[in-house]
Amino acid sequence: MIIRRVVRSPLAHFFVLGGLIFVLFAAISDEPPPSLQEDIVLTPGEAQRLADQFADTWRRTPTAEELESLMQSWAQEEVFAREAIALGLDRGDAIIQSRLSQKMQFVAESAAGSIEPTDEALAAYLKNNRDRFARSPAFAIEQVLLPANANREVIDGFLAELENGSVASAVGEATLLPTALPKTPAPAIDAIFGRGFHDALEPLTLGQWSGPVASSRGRHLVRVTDREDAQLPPLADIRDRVEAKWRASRAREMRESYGKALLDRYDITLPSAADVLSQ
Amino acid sequence: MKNLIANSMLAVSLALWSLGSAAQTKEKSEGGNLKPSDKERFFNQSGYSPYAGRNYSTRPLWGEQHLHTSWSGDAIAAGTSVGPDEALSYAQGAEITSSSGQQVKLSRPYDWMVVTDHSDALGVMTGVLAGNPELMEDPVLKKWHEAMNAGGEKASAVVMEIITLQGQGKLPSAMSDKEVQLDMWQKMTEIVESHNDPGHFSAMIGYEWTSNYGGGNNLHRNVIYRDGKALADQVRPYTTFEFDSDIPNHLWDWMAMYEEETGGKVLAIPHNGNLSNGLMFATETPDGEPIDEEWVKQRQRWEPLYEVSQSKGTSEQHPSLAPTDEFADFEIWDKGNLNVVPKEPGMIEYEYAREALKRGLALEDEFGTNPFKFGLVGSTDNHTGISSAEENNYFGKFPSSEPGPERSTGNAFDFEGRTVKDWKLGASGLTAVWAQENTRESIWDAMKRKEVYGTTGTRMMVRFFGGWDFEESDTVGRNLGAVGYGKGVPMGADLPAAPEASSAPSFLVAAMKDPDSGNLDRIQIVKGWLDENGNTREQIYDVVWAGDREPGEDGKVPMIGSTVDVEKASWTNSIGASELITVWSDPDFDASQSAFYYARVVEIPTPRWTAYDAAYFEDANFSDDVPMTVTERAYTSPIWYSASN
Repeated sequence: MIIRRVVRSPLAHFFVLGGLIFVLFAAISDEPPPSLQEDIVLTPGEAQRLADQFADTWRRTPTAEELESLMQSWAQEEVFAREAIALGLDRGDAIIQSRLSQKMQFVAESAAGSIEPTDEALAAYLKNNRDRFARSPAFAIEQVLLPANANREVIDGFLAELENGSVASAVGEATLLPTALPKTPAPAIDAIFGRGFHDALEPLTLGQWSGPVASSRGRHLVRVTDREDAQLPPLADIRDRVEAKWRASRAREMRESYGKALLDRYDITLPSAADVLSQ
Repeated sequence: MKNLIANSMLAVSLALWSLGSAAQTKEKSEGGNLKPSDKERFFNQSGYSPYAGRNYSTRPLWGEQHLHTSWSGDAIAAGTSVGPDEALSYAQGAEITSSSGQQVKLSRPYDWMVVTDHSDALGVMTGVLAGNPELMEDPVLKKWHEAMNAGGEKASAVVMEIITLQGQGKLPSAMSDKEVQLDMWQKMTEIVESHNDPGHFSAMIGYEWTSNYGGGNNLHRNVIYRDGKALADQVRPYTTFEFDSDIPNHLWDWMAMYEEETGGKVLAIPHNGNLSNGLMFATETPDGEPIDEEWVKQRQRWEPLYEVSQSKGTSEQHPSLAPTDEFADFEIWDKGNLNVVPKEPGMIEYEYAREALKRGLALEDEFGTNPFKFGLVGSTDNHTGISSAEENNYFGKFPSSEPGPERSTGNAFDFEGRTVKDWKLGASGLTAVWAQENTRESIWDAMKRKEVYGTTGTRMMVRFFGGWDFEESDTVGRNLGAVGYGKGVPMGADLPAAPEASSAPSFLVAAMKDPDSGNLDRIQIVKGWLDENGNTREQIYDVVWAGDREPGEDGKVPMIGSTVDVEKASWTNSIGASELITVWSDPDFDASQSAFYYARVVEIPTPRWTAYDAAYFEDANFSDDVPMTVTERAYTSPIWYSASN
């Protein structure tokens, strides 16, 4: 029954564990283990919690029939779980072990949620983590794709045309690349023209046709029509994001230091790795 | 219908706008300043200012809607240590450490992502601590608070003390208040919220509803929110436990309740029909009820998209159902369901997207609504917290299939000896969204109107418009968006009713290669329709291709060949094209037969992740039957034609 329940459950593709339980259980018996003869009591308070969970999902209280069924399911799960624990099925279970460990980490982290950072703390955090919050540079451009074999003469001809006011879409090769881009962040420009293209835009003079500039698609004449340098937004503009990151890093610190502190509570004996491997 | 109206409004406004400019031109030329040839010059352009009148996007937004992190029970059990916070940082281009201790970074950041951990594992943890400023009225708590703010050893000593007292049941009473319970869902939405940066990166809220009906029959759906934390927190995600259910139409009930109660919006994206053992597109519910008018309406309403490409195989079309489709035998997983329970005859017909799109036309005839009217997307479904869909940067589905020689022989799935090898996993897929701006709302709206396409991981740009009067000259203009929206409807939409004179719909289709991937081989249009006897049919047309290949007698363009050097895991773009564009008109169109059309864009062969592994890991030991090349591709959402229109 236990095998069937596990396999049928949504955790079924926990293939890591499947084999393990199978082996363990096969070693025991096909018969249900003897009853532990314990009383199982669901207090009205706990039943209320089941009802609350239902209400959180459906935004209404369960009917008496529904709550009855929820409680029956609870009892069934409870007896399975108790019997499983009595059999020691929880031991050596990778899912249970890692889940408990994860929960303990959440507990250690959760205290970070109650800290209110000062503006100074956030400003310092922002300064020390510039790279995570800086806005990439942005460019607005027009571009013309050059024919693959265009020599200097041809290129100069195009440049002259463009300087004389020809629109970019009337010059050069027909292409699906946009002839004009509104102000676009550097990573998005690179997503269209290939990595490194925005770097080549950096030295170009605003408002002037320049090039050739190489992209993943070939060579281009480019006019930067607007630009914005990389910048760190002021704290006030991104306070929520900075605070969230600050809190996350605080949570990480707490989790790690708590893990260390817990290790210190125990005398831990581990064999030498070399000895184990040589056996 | 709403899409139609929106699109025709766009068309009308474009038309009005061009009328306006034409009038202006005329006025000027009467003044003697502008020659007729000048007028000609401006005719096919969107005006001098390239930004004026533009309300469509120039590039699709790339992302994925299906990633599991250590918060999914099966992921953490498999050793995944990457949580949602790091997963979202990685999606924005940060370098992180994988569960197996390897550094990993995306070639190019994503524009958006949805972390979709299993709702079943996102339970409430009762009685743990959480932040609440009101608690600070308690002097002990205030002391702790200050120590924690001091950081370092002081802070960790406080944490230690709190947890110890908690264990002994001696916490200050304020802290065991029921209000102070930590809900995993709210913690998840808080993390997602902290990564959402409108205009730059959209972190969207979502979860996976994981129904394995009857034991491993994959009916999973990703539920994607348009909303932020404030609305998403109001209702607990739907699970498959207890009074929740593993029947999809019960999930739709929950979605309807969510929208009604909160005023928010959600949609669901099913995936892995290939592992559903005949249930994904069945014409009865999993528990054996025949579908009815209500059911088909609900399915169309809540499930506008379907995931056709991901790490556990392709669900576009099975080769046995399309024997003349030479590109159908691609990353196929057809051994069984998610528990590798073997398939029986008759199941595959109800598992693949193209079959469902065809059956949908027949069901529309029967019920008045097409339940399977969905667009196509791709995503990874990785359980590593690392969204990786690149062949040369593939970080596997589970920690055990992260890079290493072991994955050349390891098993991705093993149920009592029924196995699927790691090498069967695909480095796939991604979703491109034609959204006007990079915000949750704009991306979700584009998903809802199906203006999206899926790829096997490559980031090629694909445009696809349908209408009644596209012509060859539309391919030479450089403002495809203006022509496409001006004269037709985009992917995911319905063709408007045919103007009388027209004999067949025409399609403007274009693709541009991913700067980092292979050249393009060809664009195909896949047509499905309902014939005069009510039978479903399909036909694939090669509509534009690279080079000077001549189609054979069967109309098929010969295969392009390969430049892949497997040993060196390299290829050259000496074959194929960097761009393809054409206007195609359906030569076999019959106005009395409902149909759908979608584009499939195929790249030239490039090395598969297995080739990169074989070249990188000396100890990799792939067997001879492991494919070493891949033909990456994009699948657009269809455009539908309704005969009853």
